[in-house]
Amino acid sequence: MSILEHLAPVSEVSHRTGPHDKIVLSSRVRLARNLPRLPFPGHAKRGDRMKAYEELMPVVQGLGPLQGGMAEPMERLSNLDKQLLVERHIVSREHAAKGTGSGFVLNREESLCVMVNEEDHLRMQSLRPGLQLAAAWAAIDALDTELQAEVDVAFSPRYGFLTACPTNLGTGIRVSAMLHLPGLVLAEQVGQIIQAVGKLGLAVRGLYGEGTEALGNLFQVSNQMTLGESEPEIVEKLSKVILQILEHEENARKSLLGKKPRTLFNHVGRAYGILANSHTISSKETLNLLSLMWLGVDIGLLPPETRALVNELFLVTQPAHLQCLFSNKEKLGAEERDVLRSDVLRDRLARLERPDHRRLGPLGTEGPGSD
Amino acid sequence: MECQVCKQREATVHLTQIVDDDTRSLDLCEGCAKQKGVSDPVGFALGDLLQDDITSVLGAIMAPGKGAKDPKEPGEPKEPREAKDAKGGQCGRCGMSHAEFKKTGRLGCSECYRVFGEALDSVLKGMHKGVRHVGKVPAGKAQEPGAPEPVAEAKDQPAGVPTPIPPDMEQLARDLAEAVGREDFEAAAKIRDAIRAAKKSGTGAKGGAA
Ligand SMILES: [Zn+2]
Ligand SMILES: [Zn+2]
Repeated sequence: MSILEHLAPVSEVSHRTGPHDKIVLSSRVRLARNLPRLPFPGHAKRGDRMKAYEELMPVVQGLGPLQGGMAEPMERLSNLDKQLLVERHIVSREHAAKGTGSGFVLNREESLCVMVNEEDHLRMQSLRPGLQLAAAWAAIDALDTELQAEVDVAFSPRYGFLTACPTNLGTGIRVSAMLHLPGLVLAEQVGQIIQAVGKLGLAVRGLYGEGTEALGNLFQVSNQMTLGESEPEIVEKLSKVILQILEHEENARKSLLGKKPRTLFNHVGRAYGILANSHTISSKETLNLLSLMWLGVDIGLLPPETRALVNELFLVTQPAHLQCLFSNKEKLGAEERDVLRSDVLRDRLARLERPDHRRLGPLGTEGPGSD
Repeated sequence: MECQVCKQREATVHLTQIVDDDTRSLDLCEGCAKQKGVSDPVGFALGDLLQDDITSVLGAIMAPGKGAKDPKEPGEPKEPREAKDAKGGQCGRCGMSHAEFKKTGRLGCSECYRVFGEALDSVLKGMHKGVRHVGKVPAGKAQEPGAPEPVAEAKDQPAGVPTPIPPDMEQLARDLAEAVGREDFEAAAKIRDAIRAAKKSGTGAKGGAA
């Protein structure tokens, strides 16, 4: 039995919506907190780590918004379960690597999650669809306040909330959003955006892929500084910058559609062609092509209801979801996964009408295509 | 006009910043601008909105070698200070040594922040916007007398519960961006003062104890 049965069904997750969710897929705010008298998890011996775990798990489970949710020690989870949680952005990759003495608590709505003994004793996060940073902050702020009524947390008037790594010191806050920026990537402007945002003390990085590559044109923007700025200031700054990136992305799409419609139609049409007809496909290629399908929905080449289908495919073609949902085997090899992934994609896309530029009206039919 | 950095090529990129009531400008050739990462127009569209940050960007360029989080204290050397603090102490509670802290960049427990405090400040300066906490404070901790931490150079006590930025501040920020946009720097400096005053009077998030 897999943890998937205790999580919201994929069909439900893929129908979640929020403001500006064409471009801002999700918003997240997380806080780092520690107990004042025990060593931080990375420096603690097993006994102290267990002490922190045993003190915190019951308290966290008892917090109002988390009551009736899921609480699991990491040691009880299989590697596949852990990978599923990472693919859902419920726990961090670092936390998934933990075993005895670490755990997590998730609320029923899957909008709040507390990791116990990650890098800090507590990592509490609030996750919402679309651009909802202020709401995400309000939710986690309230949870944190409730927590602090139950346990003392490490705090110094000078340095604020004390954390294992000084990069989190002060507010302990990390505000981030996941952005889909195919327009800026196609227009070759994303490098400029990354540079500009970097100068504001924020970081932009590819969400998937290594180094500078950003698979699926997905990026994460987050604050880097946590000391010397208040939480609302940080949230406000991120929101403003994200709104500007959003505007740049919209402009890039508009300009591509105006100047090079044929290029855009070509990208989307080919993405559909490959996804609907391949017999083996890697997760990397899938991510990149699904991104173009999202773009196809956004610019009107595909009917709007296709968005939820693309969301679903985005989730179920990731390794752990793929294996859990579509295979009875204990463990799949990478090649077996690629075949299975293509089977799922062909099946799901068989009923989808192909992208049609005539949906766009005269703009699409004229299509001189300037390249 | 020659480039202020290489003093060789013709300056084609012109930047302006406002420091207090002063407007300062920086003229760079294309090569140096690119090298400093300020050549793209998109970047400055973003920077204009957050005036505080464009100041840091320019500060970083004008005072090379420093993180330029605070352009008012330019070029404070990092190295000697760290060396002075490297006296090989150890945290009495968790056993973390100073050497280990320097190597990993992590602390072992909350007590470490007191033990390595001095060495820490120089690290924090390059890392964050400030070296003192501004933001949420646990209930009942705000006015704790005789706090164990060294509170020298404490000009402003940490604020109470964070207050959201009032809407008129947003308007001011927009006005500021607009003034900078039409290169009316006199007006921009005035708006900037108004923002500062509002922040000081406690309407901004840094107020509270003031
Ligand atoms: Zn030059
Ligand atoms: Zn210690």
